[in-house]
Amino acid sequence: MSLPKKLQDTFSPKELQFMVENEPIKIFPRFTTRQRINKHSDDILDLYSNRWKMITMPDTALNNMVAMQSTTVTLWIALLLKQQNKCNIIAPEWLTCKALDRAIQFEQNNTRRFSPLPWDWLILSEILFKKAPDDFHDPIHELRSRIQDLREIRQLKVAKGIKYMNESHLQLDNLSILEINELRPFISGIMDKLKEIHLAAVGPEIEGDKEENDGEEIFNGTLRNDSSRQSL
Amino acid sequence: MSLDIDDILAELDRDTTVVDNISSDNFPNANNNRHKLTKDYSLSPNSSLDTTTVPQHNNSSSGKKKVISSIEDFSKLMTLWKNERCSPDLLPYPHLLMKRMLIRIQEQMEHLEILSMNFFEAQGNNSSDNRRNMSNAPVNNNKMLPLLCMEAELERVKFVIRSYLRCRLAKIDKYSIYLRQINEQYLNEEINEENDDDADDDDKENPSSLRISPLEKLLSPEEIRYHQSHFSLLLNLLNESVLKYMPDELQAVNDTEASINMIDEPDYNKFVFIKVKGPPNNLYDTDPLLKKRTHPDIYYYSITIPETKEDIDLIIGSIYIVRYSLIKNLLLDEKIELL
Repeated sequence: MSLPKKLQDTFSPKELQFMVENEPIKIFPRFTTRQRINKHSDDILDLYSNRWKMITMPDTALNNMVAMQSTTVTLWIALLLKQQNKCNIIAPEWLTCKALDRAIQFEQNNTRRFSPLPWDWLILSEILFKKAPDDFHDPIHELRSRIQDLREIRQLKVAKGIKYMNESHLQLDNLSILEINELRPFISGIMDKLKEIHLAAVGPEIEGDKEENDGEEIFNGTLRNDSSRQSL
Repeated sequence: MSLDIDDILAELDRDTTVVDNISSDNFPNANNNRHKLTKDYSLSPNSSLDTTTVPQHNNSSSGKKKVISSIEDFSKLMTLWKNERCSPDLLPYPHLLMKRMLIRIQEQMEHLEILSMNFFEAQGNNSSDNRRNMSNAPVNNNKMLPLLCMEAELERVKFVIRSYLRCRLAKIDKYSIYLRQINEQYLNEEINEENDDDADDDDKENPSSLRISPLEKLLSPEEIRYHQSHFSLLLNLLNESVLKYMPDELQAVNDTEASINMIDEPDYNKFVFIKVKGPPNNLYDTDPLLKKRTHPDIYYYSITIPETKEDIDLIIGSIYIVRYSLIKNLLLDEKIELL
């Protein structure tokens, strides 16, 4: 198979991580790449190999890093530098105990909405906990437990929201990529089936087939109720 | 000379540090046999490429032309990859974008080659001159770092392209007969139109060979060749193993008369997750489909489910699950993306 079966319906978690790794993040570099103007020009090595020439991201920031001055780079570069002990990653603003507490509060107060976390919050926090555990100001186990809480609250909400599934459409604002990805096969499968049932129920009505209408109305009625617009 | 899809894949699989023997001249020529597409390629890949990287690297050649930066191209490629993976349908092949991407990879590989050669040469010289360098390992490491990252980046780009192409191949396999059907319909129409043209001779300026068939828009030349050979193999297999033992009237593989359609069509009514992005380049005022609600200001697209006549408002920035058929046009216009 040109594309493995398990990848045809949805993305693998690794692929999602790949996407997230292309996002920008702030770092404190521990070394300087900005070139001094008065440099010894006979050093060819410096001229060539110390320059960054990237094709998927702006390389100006990479060529102008100054030690301990914050700059923004792509996450996977940051992770690579971190691995080499050449930078500190600055945790995003939402990934602090305070902000996470606010988000949990929001989730508890709004039963029908999700808190506006970034689309990659679950994956990003997982990556940072793993690769840069020493770069957080808050104790990491507390952050971890808050992320876990958030995830459980939101999962519960999704589970509750399943009863609103219908054959028409659903609105799911602020759902993150990982959450979408794990829901995708289930939700789209069920909604496809609901649509089929709905079509089977509505179809004869359009043709004006009155005989079957008795049994159908109940069926139709329940579906109609479901299709009233719901935003989770 | 044109490129095989296998060649591209093999090329992509190769180690980045190996010297490459496909000269970059081959890429602009790859589609010489497709003059029909020249309209599409009016922006020659080379001219758009000269202006690719950040200005500081080539102040000389950039300037007049509209710049499509490599960064834009990559994020577009990521979107295309995601869309292709999520859509039930085969989406049009980005001829120009892919060409630029491949040339860029080529250039970057050559660049890296020169860099690493210089690097090792210099290192060799140093260590033979004096042994001072051996004690300076960390500095060395610093100099290796950009090289390492650039190689890693190259691998990442190649991964996306590979996954994207494989996803497309899977769909071409799946909808083999369907794609062929599209093309045959088109060719039939064309023949009919040619007959019409004979009637009035005024229309000679617009020979039908200049038009692009739907298949050529949808697939790259390499994919078309793949599709053709895959289809003939499949047909051969079916004929040899089963069909030739069947009665004549049951031998067709594209029987649409019976109760079940034998051609596998993409499920256009499949539910997909979408994120509404809004008009490209934020041209909110010029998009006729965009509607506005005040207090608070909300921009949205309105779509209608045909059976129930139910309207759905797709608000910009929101995430929805809707049928693919309803949003296909918005998707092709890059106003939404699939998740």
